[in-house]
Amino acid sequence: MRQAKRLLPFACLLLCAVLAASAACAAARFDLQKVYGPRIERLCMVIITNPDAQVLAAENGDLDIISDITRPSDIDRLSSDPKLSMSLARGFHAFFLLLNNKTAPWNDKNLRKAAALAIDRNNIVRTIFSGYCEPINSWLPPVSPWAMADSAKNIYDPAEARALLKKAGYTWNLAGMLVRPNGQPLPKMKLLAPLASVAPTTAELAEQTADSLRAVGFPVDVDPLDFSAMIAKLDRKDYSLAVLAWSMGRNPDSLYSFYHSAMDVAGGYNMTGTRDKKLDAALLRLRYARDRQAAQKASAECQKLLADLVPSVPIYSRFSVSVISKRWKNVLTTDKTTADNMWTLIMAEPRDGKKRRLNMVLADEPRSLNPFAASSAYSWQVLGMIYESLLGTDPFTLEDMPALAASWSVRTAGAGSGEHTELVFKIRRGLKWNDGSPLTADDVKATIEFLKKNSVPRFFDSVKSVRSVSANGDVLTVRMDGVSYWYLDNIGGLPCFPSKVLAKISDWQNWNPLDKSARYGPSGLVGCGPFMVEEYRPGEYVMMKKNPFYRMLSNPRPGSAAK
Amino acid sequence: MKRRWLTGRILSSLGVLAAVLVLNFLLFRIMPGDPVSTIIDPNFSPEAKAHLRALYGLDKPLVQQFFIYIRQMLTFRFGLSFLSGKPVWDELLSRLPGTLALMASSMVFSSVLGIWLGVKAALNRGKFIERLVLRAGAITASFPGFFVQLVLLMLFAREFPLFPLRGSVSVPPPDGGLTLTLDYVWHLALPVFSLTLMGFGGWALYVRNLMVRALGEDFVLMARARGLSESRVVYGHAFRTILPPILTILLMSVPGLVSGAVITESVFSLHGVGTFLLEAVSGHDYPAAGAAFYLLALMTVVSNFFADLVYGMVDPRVRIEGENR
Repeated sequence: MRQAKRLLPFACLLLCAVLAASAACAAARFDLQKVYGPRIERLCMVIITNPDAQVLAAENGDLDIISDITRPSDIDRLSSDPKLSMSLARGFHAFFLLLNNKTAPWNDKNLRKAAALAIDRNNIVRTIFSGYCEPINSWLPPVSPWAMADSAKNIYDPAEARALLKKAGYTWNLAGMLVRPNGQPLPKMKLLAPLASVAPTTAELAEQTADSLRAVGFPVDVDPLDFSAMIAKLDRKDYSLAVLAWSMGRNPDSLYSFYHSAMDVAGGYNMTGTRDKKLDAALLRLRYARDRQAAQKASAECQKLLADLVPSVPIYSRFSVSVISKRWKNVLTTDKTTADNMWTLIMAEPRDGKKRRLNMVLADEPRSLNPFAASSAYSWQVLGMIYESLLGTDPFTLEDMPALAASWSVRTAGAGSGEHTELVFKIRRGLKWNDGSPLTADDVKATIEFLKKNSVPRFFDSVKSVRSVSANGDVLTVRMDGVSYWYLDNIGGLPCFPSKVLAKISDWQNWNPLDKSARYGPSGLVGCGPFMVEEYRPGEYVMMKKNPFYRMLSNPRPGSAAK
Repeated sequence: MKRRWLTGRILSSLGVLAAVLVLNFLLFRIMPGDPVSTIIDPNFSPEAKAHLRALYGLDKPLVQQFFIYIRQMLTFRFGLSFLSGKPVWDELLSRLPGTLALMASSMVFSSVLGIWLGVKAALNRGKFIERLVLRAGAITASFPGFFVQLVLLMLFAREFPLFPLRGSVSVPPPDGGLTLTLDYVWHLALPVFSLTLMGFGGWALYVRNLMVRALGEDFVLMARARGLSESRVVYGHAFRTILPPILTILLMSVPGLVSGAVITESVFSLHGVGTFLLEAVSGHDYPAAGAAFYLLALMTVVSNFFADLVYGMVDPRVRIEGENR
C-alpha cells in the first residue's frame, strides 16, 4: 500500500506527460493518406511468453516494441530506462461489477444505484493499478467517440448510497448490515471472481469491491472460482454478483448484446438478465439506426437509460501501455493509440539512418495462421499485417477512414418492408496483392460471398445479413437485409482475400496457408497489407518482410518525418 | 508361469488404459463450460456460437461423441485442435523435440549429479561434504522453480549476458549444421541448468539415505572382510542393491519427459508440450487435451510395465514366482 502511494505521484506525472505528448501529437495531425511506407525491410515478431523476459529483452535492446504492458511494476521499470519511450492511451477495456437483475436484492433499482455509489473507484485505481487505469461511470469505455461526457468521473459517495438505501426502506442492524423493509436481514451474497492464482489483480479488485459494499451494509463475500465455472454460472444466472472485464469495440452497438432482453438467453451476453421495455426499444433503435445521426441519438438515449437502470456497475478502464526503443523515429502516438500501431510500423525508421530490422514482441504463439480459423489475438496480430479491409480506423479520432476503399456511401433503398441498407464502396485504383497481381472489386465480392457461403464463425455476424453483392469496375455494391448504420463497419472491417486463392480452398477449416503440399488449398498468405510472412518458426518468431506492392509505397517519400 | 505373468500384466495395463480413455472423455465434459462458452466477445452472437459448436461436433449426442473419440484415440488420428485448427499430432510433434531435449538432458544431469553426490554423502557421514550435500540438496529442491529460474534469467541473461533470454534458437538462426547445433545448445543451457539445479537435490537426498542403509548391511561388511577394493564394495555391492528403487523413479519419470515443464517453458519462452497441455486444458480443447493425456497414460503404463521387467534383470532377488532360480 505504502509503495503504491509512493508510486502514485510518479504515475500521475507520467500519465500527464504522456497524454500531453499524445495531445500535442494529435494537434500536429498529418494527412494519413499521404504516408509513405513501410520504410523498414523486415519486421520480426519475436515470441516471448514470459512478461519478465519481455522487459529484460527491451532493456537489453533485443526488442524494439512491447505492446500491452499491464503490470504497474513493469511500467515503472521501463519508464525509467532512458533508451526507451513509453506510450499510454485510453483503451477499450472496461471492467464491471455484474449484478443479477433477476433476483433479490438486485432486482431493486435503488439497491443497484446504492452499490454503484458505494464503490471507491479511485482507491482501486490507486492501490491496485498504481494509477495506470481510470475510473469509469459509463457503459462504454471513455475512449469511444460515442461515450457520454463525464464517463470517467468517480461517483463514489457512500453517504448518498446510505441515503438511497434508507429511502428504499432499508435499515441497519447492530453489525452494520442491511435489514430489509420487512425486518428480515439481507442474506449473505457471494461475489464471483476468478482465482487469485489466475487473475491476481481481479481477485484483489473483487476483495476491495466487497469491502466497499460491506461498508454500506451489503453482506458480500468473495467466492473465487475457475473462470469456466464462473462463466457457466453467469450464463445460467446462478449468481448474485460477479466481476468481469469486457473488451468493447469503438461502436456502441455492443450495448445491444449486453443489455437487450433478446440476449438474455443461453450463450447470450446479457448476463445481468436485464429486461426493460424502454431500454429494449432504445437498443433496437440503436442497432437498426438508419444513419449516424439516428445512431448518435439512440446511443445517447441508451446510455441515459442505462445510467438510470444501473444493470451493472462500471468500475474502471485499463490504459493501453506500450514501449518503443528511442532508436526509432516517426513513431505515431495519440491519446487513443499507443506506439505499437500499424502507422508506426509503416513509418518507423532507424534514428541513426542504418538499415535495421524492427523487433516486436509477440506475447504468445499464434498457433494458426489460417485467417478463417484463427481466433487468438496473437494470430491476428500477425494476420493484421498481411490483410487489409475496405475501411481503416483513424488513429486520431477512431472514426472510419479510407483503406482499400477510396470512398463509400451508405443509403437506404427500397420502401416499406423491402427497405434495406445499400453500401457502395469505390475501390482504389492500382491496388495489388503482395504477389503482384491486381486487387479488384471482384476480389472483395468473392471474399464476402466466400465468408457468407461457408458461414465462417469469426465473420458470421458481419456477413449474415448480406443479401447480394455486385462488382462493377471499381465499384462494389453490397445490399443488406434490413436497415442498419452498423452494416458499414461490419462489411468495411472484413479482411479481403484474393478470389483466385478463395476459389482453390477446398476445406477452409483445414486450410494451412503455410503447408507447401497445399492439400486443402493453395499455400502462401496472399494479402495486401504492409507486410508479408517470410518465415514462421513455431515457438520462436514470425519474420515478416515489406510488401513491395503495398499501396502506400506509391506515395511520394516525404523529406521530413511525421512527428 | 512367465507367460501367464506377462499376459496378466498386459491385460491389466490394457484395463488401466481403457479406464483412462473413459475418464479422459468424461472429465473434460463434466468440467463446467465448453470451448465455445468462454468466448466473450459482443461481436460473436449466440447464433455464431451455435454454429461453432456444430463445427466442433459438440452438438452431437454424448454417446456419438464418445465413439468418435474412441476411434480417434485407437487409430492415433486425434483430429483438429479447437484452439489452433491444426491436427493435434502435428502440434504435438512440433513441440516434442524441444521438450524431449530439455527434459531428457536435465533428467540425465540431475540424476547423475544427484546419485553421485548422494553416494559421496553416504560415504562421508558426519563430514563436511555430507552436510554440504544435504543442505544444498534441501535448499535447491525446496525453492520455487519460477523464482530460481527468474533469478538465473536476470543474472545470466541480463546482468551478465552469457545466455539468451528466450527461445531455443537465435533470430534468425545461424546457417550451417554445427553452428545451428551450438546455437541450440547455448539456448538450452540455462533452462537445463535450472532444472538440474532444482532436481539434483531430491536425487542426492534419496540416494544418500538408500546408500547409508545399504552400507550398514552385513554383506558390505563381508565384502570388506574379503579384502575387496572400496570402489568394488561401494559400486559393485552396495550400490547394486539400491538400483531397483532408482530405476523405478527413472522409469516413472519417462512420461514427464514428454509432458514437459510448464513453468520452465513459460519462463524461458520455449515451444514445448507443457504449455500446450496447459492451454488445452484451460481452453477446453478436447481433442488436444484428450490426445495428450492419452499418450501420457500410455507412456506411464508402458514405463510401469518395463520397470517390472527390468527389476528382475538388475536384482537377482526379484524373480517371478515359479521361475527357475
